[in-house]
Amino acid sequence: MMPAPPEPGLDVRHWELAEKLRAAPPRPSDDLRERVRAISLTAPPSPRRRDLPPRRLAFVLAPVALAVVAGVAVGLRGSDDSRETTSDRGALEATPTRIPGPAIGEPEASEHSALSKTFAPGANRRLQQYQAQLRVRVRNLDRLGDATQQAMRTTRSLGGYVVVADYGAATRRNGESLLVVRVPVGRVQQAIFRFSDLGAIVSQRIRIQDLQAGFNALERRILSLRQRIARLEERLADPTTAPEQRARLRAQLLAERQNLSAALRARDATLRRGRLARITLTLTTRGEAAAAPGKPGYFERTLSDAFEVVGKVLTWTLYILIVAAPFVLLALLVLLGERARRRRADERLLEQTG
Amino acid sequence: MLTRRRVAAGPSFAEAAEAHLDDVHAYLVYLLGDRDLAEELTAATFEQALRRWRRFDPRRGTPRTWLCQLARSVALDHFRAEGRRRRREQTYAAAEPLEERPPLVEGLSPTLERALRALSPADREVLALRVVLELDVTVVARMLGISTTACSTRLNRALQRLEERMHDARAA
Repeated sequence: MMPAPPEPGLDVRHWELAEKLRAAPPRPSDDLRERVRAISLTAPPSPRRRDLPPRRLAFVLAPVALAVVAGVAVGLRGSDDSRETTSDRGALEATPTRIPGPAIGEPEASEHSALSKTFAPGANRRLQQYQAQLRVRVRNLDRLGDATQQAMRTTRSLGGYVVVADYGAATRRNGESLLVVRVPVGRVQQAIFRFSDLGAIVSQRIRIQDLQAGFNALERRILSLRQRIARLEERLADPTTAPEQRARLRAQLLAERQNLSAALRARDATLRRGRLARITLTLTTRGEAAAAPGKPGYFERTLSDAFEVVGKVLTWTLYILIVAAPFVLLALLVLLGERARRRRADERLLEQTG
Repeated sequence: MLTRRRVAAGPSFAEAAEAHLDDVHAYLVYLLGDRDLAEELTAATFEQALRRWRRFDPRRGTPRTWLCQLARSVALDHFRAEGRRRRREQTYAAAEPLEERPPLVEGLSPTLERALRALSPADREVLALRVVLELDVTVVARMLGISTTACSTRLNRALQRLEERMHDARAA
């Protein structure tokens, strides 16, 4: 009878030989059977406390350690960032002349009141020129007309006046109106609040320019001119003054009086600039930016912070992975090489021994 | 807990030892080419198996394969230690008289017995695993760390060499 082949690829002429080997398997001695039975009846060693072998434990602990390190790094970086933000804001508030506001299309209505309060005119009793630019989005054309009227009424009710009023509807749906108003500096904050309520703030820009130094210089010049005029008048009143000299003094007096009236006009203009704030209000129906978001609640802030931290952790993890990848790859190659070398050594050992 | 589940899913160690003692012993006899030594190392294998039994995962292989792998590791350790010993005691070992050794496998013809002894452990190993224990080619390939094709080639070559050694023995 032809024995069954041990495997399909086995040469036919070896079948008989293979069958001979298979027919006579080595049998263990009774002594060995007893020994193995005794071993198997021995109580198994107490379970190890750690189920995971060290290598697997390392595979588990390494990512955890990585995440912890990344978290700590992000935390430290985050606290640095917050410090920077605070100091930046401090620097911003200390700027005496120009107040940087958000660019067009950057709604920051939640901060506008704080800014307005911080830069409230006359807070330090210096003469300042106060200028504000507001861009407010309204729902539709009907509302645009109403809002424009309301803004003009507000201006007048606050003791101000409208310098420019330009209302236009480019299409049936969209339109824009531009108002340039002057309101007393003491009521500018109130005006901005009321204008903000007309719709959703799209952008705002507030600019304060110090006029005090220029005003003081004008005051000094006026005083000086008055003193010089007084001296000229005194010399003209003197009967000993020669006729030729008298004619020259009169010409000088005329010039100084003209200078004085120019200085007085400049001083009055400066005072007016400091007394009345200039507000440029643009009301628009175009949805070029989203409505100003309200102040986020506690839940939204927490969620936002959580997402930010997760994002940072992921960024750092990716960063560490990119940095560590070559080393991990190298270690993997060394490990694989070592395993291959060991396997080859085993094969050589089995080929040579005998 | 994981290890306990693993052991609970498979046979007990005593059952596995009882069922696969013959296989492990046969494998080691072929691999080592020495029956007495095979008995010693079989006992050593089961001692080690008892210590490591908690690590055995039935999902990754049968107890027979696991025990054979363990036996292979024990045999390789023995070969390494023996190689070191021989290198140290080269002069003495060369002069060491050859002892009369017991037959490797009962029931084999003297020609086949001599031819089997003349093979390398690597050849005897593949014969034991594929022919005597009739393990699947993929299992043996994984055990030896080679491809299935290489495993089949190795088996054919081992049988070829066995045949040649038998021919040489008959001629002598």
